[in-house]
Amino acid sequence: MSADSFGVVLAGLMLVGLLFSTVLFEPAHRKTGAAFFLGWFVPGAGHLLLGRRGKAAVLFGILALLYVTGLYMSGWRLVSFDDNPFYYVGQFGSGVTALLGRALAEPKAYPIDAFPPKWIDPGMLYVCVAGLLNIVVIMGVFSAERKPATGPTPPAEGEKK
Amino acid sequence: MSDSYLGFYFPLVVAIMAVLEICHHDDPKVIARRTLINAAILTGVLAAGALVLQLLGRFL
Repeated sequence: MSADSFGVVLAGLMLVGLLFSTVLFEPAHRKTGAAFFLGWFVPGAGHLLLGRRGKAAVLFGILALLYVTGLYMSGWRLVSFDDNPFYYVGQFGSGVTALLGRALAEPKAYPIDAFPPKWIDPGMLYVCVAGLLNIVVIMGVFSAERKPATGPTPPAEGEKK
Repeated sequence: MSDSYLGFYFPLVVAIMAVLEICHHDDPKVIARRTLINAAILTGVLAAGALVLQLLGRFL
């Protein structure tokens, strides 16, 4: 399986997981299951589904800024497998980056004239880290589920009501 | 390694630390404080490691 087809297969698996999350998860955790798969496609979307709008917006903003900055520095070309296999795999951390990787696929990333050529490596690193950080974010939906989105903290066990 | 790479290091580390803290805490003040503290600790550890390597390379 080539690296490109791996991205397509991964996106398909996540889509199937999103569709079947109502079956795979217990009734109490179905929304979290859907948030997990949705969060892979769009950074922060999982938190948005769980009602944590502020966190979703900030997480999306940070990852999008990191990703766009990296793309800008690498001449709006995504990391190819030939550029750096490790950075390339990092793009699969989110659906947006994986799909854009296919849409904008170019043989090689190259630096734009405005920047020194050596800046291409940090640019590719930014793109990679944006994808990898999304894995941390989608794992965070499980802890986001446990905490109440709004309202007062529930009284501790044994506390007088 | 050129000095210009340092300009890319700090935004990246702050972004990584911020995402990690946002996933664990809700209070923006706590998130900001812990982000900066952790970024400073990581920078200190890396700087200390670089210093040790520099000294080892010079005297050994």
